[in-house]
Amino acid sequence: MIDVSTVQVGAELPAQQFPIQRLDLVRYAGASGDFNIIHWNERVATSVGLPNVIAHGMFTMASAIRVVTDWVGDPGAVVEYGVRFTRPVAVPDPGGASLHVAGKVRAIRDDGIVEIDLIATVDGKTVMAKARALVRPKASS
Amino acid sequence: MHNDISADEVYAMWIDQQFQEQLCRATGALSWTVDVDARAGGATMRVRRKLPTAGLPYAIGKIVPTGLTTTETVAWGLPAADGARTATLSVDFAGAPATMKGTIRLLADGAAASTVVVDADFRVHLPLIGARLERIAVPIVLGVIDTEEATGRAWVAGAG
Repeated sequence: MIDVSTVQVGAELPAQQFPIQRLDLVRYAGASGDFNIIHWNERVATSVGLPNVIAHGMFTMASAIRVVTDWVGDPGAVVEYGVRFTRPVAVPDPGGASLHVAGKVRAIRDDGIVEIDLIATVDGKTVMAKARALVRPKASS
Repeated sequence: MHNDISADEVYAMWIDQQFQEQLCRATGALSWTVDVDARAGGATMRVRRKLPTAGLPYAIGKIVPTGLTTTETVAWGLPAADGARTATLSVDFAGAPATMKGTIRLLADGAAASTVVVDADFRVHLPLIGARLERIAVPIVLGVIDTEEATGRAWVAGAG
């Protein structure tokens, strides 16, 4: 849990590495109901020009925000979160993918909302651009 | 969604019959028919997809036991000077008391980039459980948009 009063612009959030395996995509499909075939069938995924089975955009997005929620210690503190997907996350089997996510405090607004920029990469290539979260940490008592 | 190609190129891709068939394959449709009626300055596109029900959440599968056939109708208007266009979007779910209506806006971000904004309202017209089914369907509808975006990127990469 962070102490809001000590947060400074430019502070880096602890980066994390998220391994993504086919099993994670199957689990996400089951949890979300998004069974689009490109997320689990390599034959179809490659037939439509994708490099392999690809991770759900929402799953990638949800994994990345954990850097913020772990840092702030409260998932409910995230009041806004948006990304642009720039590159599909291919999840080959065997092997899977490894999503690296780093975060930095971009600004602190007068009302206490903390703006955080996230950098999400796989093999050093950006998979989401303009990934930004707004966090309203609970006031420390 | 954001594209590294111009609004004109996105439009040309969108009304390409083969691209629409690729989207049907990518979304796992069992069978499909695609009709594109391109006229000077605009186009109307009707895509009918028969979708598998195997992966649908139980609550949705119960109301469409014999399968789900969607008919997506998109009518594009004339382009603005910068290539921007707006389309009306309507999706009919045969056999299910649901509708989706809205607009697709294709915006030009300069000469070599563009943005697509889908603004649609998905409704399940059932008393009591309609709102709950709408919430269940949200990630599925978003998933289709996500899939179509990824397929579009792959299409552009393959052509380029």
